[in-house]
Amino acid sequence: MYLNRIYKNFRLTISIISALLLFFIVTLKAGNTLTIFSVLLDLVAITLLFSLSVQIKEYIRINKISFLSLTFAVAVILGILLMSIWTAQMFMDNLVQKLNAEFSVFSFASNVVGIIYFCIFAFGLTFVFVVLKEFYYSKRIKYNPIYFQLLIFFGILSALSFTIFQEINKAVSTAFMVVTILLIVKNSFGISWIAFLNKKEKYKLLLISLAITVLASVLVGYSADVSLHSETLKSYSTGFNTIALLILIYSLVYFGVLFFTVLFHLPTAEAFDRKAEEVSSLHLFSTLINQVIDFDELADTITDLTRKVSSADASWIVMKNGNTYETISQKNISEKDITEINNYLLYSGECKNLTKAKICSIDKSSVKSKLSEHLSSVIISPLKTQTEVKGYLLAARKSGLLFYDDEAKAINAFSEYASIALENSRLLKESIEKERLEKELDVAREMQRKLLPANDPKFSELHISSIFIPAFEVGGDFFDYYTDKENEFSFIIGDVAGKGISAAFVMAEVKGIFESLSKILASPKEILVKANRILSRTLHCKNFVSALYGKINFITSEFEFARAGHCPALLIRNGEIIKYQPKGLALGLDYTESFSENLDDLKIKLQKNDTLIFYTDGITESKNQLNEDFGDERFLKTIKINLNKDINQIAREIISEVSIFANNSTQYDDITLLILRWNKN
Amino acid sequence: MAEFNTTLKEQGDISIIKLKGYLDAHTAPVLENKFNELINNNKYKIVVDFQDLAYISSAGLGVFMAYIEKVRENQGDIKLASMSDKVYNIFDLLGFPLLYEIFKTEEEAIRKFSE
Repeated sequence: MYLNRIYKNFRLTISIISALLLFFIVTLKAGNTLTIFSVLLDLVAITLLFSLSVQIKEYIRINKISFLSLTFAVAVILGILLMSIWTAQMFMDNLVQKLNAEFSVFSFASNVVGIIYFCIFAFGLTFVFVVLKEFYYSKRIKYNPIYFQLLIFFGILSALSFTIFQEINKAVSTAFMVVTILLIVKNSFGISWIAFLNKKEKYKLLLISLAITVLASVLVGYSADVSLHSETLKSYSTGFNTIALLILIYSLVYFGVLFFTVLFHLPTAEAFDRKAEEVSSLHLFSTLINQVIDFDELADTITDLTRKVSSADASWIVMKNGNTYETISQKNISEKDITEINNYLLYSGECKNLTKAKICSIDKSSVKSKLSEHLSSVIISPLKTQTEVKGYLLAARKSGLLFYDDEAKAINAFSEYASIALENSRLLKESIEKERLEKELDVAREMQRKLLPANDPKFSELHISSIFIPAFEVGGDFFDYYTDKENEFSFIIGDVAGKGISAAFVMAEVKGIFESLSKILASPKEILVKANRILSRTLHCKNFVSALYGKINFITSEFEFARAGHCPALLIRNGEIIKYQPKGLALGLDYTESFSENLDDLKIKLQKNDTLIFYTDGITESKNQLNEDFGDERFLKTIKINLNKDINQIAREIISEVSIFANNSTQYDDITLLILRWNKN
Repeated sequence: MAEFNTTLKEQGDISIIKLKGYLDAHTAPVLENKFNELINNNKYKIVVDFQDLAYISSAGLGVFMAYIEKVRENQGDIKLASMSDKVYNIFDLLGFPLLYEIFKTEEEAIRKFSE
């Protein structure tokens, strides 16, 4: 269990053991100046630094600490180290002498204080070093670890050489140190990560790096000098003192360079921020394309982002609506100013045939004085689909400066995205609308079907067969039977002009009118004349209704009918087809007396096996793929071929012929077919 | 979907609309716009030439009904000319010849206006 815990905290255990080792060796050494002790202490100190650095690095990685926070932490740590030095100077005057004195209670107590002091510096400087390493490896275009590895290598060499060769040849150690410092300088250039900070962060970094530079230079002073501080560290490890000095020099140089780099970057920080905004806006936009369903919301987002991308003061979108332009979204600009600028740029032909974003100065134009805001520069970019320009995206700026080319390019790219997004949104809206209309049509179709008789009535004297096939679009065909009167059967067949919901409503109204009139009036002509009069109150001038009202008297075998602009009645007698087309205007065409004067009533005495056929133009005007009509001729021919068959069979044959003729063409109009066969002598 | 278009010709104070293609519920608004345009310009003497019209549906016929009253109120008229037999039969079936003057040629219709 305990071993497992040690394994888990392996690095921490090493650090603690190293610190304890340092403590014991210094206690045992007790003033002894043997080199072997010094080398041993250096090696333990390096081990301590290494184990600490691994832990700190891991901590930074796991917590994903930002670079700005790390820089701040470095400043704080350097501050703490400086405070430690000052505190040590105040209270620990005899520390070094006692540390290096013979073993005693005093030297032991000093050693306890000394090791804590040493550990603070070991931790602090390791932290600084790890941060510098992170900075070195971060966001480099070329990954080249060799210089940093060389730096560590020469750093350790100079540390050890000071211990080993200090007495023999100081020049070797100095040479190593010089090489290390040269590598430090080399590694301190090429700081690329600051480019990714925004303007505000750069200002903060400027202050922090200045503070670090000052702190590091003071600390370098303490470390390089023969002071209580450096002597204390040297008592534990001469090498560590050298490493500490090198790390402080590294941070001094690095943050010094950083300070100047940030200083030079500041003027371009705003531009960089804008570019970053552009990139993130474009990214945001590309995701928006597939997300935004609401057209107005999308237009608003586009205008908003446009303003941000181009650092414009105002932006708006206009869409073509016939020959005019309609503003669909605007930000920070009045309708009056939009109209003035549109008039100047769009209606004057200034931006005719625009294929990409254009920068226009309105500073010296006449329009400038008419504006309520002091706008002086406008970017106009077309919103185009594959085939046409649907509108324009515009952005305006108040300052006297014109927009730059790169801003125009950004707006251009932006408007291309915007066109796609707006088009997608429009198509989506259309398809939702279409779906809604289709549902409404379904309801209307169902309504139409319910208004028609569900079954054909049955009489011994008369056989009746009917077929109704609705078109894809709801139409206005109707038929109905009236069987209330004794010894009499009446029917109506008709067609309302036009299609869609309005035709379906008229049809429902007409059906109601005929149902009432059939109860109170006897003559087909009278019924049609009265129906026309009633319709004059409600029917729109471009609507009309063709209808044929028929009545069969079972006693007298008489068929009487009148036709108001409807397809003729067909009588099949003894193998011959007789067409009856008495005079008659469609309902709704004329509300004067002339309607009645031009409506003929016709009476036919029926004979056994007489077949009467009534139909709507949906049959004769059925189209094939070549747009040809089924026509009267084919219709009559089909009847002729099948006239000896049962009436249900005849109806089926007619519909089958029409279907074969139309093949896969859309059925544009309702088809209604009504066949009656007289069965009485 | 079948095509439909109109061309407008002016001869003195008479406007001649030539129809071409298929006039049905979907294409009727094109003709409606034409009539609106003429009426807005106070042109009430209208000849409609059917020579190139292949088909007319009831919705197409409705367009003529929609404007005839307004045109006649302003001492004008809509005269129809050059119909194919097929188109004439549709007009005839509904009784339109009682309401409109239908001529064999466009010239006859124009001449009728000047009488």
